[in-house]
Amino acid sequence: MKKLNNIRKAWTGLGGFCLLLVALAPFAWGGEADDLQAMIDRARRNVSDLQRIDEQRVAAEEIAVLSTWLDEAWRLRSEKQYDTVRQVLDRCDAQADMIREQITAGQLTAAAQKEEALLEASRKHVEELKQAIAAARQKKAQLEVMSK
Amino acid sequence: MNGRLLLLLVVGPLLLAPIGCATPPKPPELVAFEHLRSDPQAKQAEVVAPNVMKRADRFLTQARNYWEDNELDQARHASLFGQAKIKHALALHQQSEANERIKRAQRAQRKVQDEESRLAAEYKALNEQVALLEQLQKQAQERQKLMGELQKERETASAEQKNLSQKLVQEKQRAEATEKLQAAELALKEADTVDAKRLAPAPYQSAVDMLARAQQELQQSQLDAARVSADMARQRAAAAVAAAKPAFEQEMAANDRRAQAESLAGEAAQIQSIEVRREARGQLQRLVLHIPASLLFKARGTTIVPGSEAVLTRIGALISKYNTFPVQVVGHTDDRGGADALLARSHARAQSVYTALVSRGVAPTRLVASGQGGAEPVSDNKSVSGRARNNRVEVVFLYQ
Repeated sequence: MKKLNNIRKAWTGLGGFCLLLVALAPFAWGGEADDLQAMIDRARRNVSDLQRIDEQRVAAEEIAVLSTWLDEAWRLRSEKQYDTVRQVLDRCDAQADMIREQITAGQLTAAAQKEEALLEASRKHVEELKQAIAAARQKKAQLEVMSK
Repeated sequence: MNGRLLLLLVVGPLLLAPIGCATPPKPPELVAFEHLRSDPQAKQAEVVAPNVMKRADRFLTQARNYWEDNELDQARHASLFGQAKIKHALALHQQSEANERIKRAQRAQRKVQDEESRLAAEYKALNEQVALLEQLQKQAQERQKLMGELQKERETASAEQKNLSQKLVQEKQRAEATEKLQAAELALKEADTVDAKRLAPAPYQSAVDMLARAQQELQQSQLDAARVSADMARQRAAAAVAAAKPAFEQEMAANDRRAQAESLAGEAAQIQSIEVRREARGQLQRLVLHIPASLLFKARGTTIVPGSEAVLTRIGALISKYNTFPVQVVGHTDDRGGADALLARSHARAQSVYTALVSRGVAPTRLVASGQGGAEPVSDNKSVSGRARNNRVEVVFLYQ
């Protein structure tokens, strides 16, 4: 008897759970849409950050592409193609990572150019020093001749 | 017609069936992906980011599979994903290259800085040497300039000294010339004192002319000539003095004698009983004190009678006072008697007066006694008074 009660209670609990799932299904779909929206919003803020740090405008086109993709994700979200939205958002993440690396590469290239410019200036200064030394040696020789 | 339509309806789908089952056109994203993958830099990126490139290659495989399976959306998505990965790898490769460039540049920069430091030190040392040499040269130039200025000053001083010496010599010559000129003027004044202008007109005028010439030459600074002219003026003035002096002294002496004679005559005129007269015999002047014989002697006597002492004393005093005059004591008689007797009486009377005067202190050397007899009457012998005047003793003061 007790075993039957337990089985009955189990079936009752399972039934109630199924009912709860059926009752909460619309809310579950609504939660994914919100999550995707939040992800898209976060990705857009990320785009703004990327635009801000891209001082040299080395990744402007790629950022524009990223924005286009986010718009596409937004559109797909509106069409409730949530799986596709997640694919697009994954791609957006990869694009954002790539953009960061491009910005870093641009910054490093600029730094390299700066170092090379400094090096060039130093070399130029060395050449000027060599010329000045040659002129000073010549002047010294003239002065020594004159002083004899 | 219907047969052809039927053939078309049967054969057409058969012909189009392979086309519909064939691989669709490659999406442009896949084309771009493959193009990007075949880029030479992508191969270099494999070294830097092998994992990323492996993922990109997996996406390429997926994309191609999706394309071949005609799943174009998935192919497109995989292509884009793969492109992002390749670009990611390329960015990493670019970063690596940039880092290498930075390292190379920094290494080179260190070397260049070392060289720069060494060169800067060398340049600094050279500049210091050059500055030192320039300073030495500047000092040498200044020393040379100073030596030049010193030489110039020496030359100037030498020239000034020479000029001063010349001026000194000139002043000395001027002083000598002036001195000689003054000597000449003095000599000329001396000539004036002896009245050389009148007594020696030729040398005097010559001296005056020469003195004027000397003064003119002195004004014109012809000092040697002035000195010579002044000397000549002095010599000629001296000659004028020498020429004029004897005559001048004679004149002065004569004038003195005349003045003394005048004084003598005045004093003699005050003696009572005697007459005073003057006579001229040629250049010889005679002041005659006429003493009547009756005052001194008895008739025909030759001895002085008493009572005549006062007259003789005063006459003796006059002779002593005017001691430069030679004095003659001359006896005279009238014409009554023989000539020899008259001459002897007159001489004896003169001698008596001579003796009386000598006894009164007159120097004998100043007196000469003589008798003239009646040879020089001063009056007519025919009358008594005339004869009385002719009998006389004359004390004669002689002068020129």
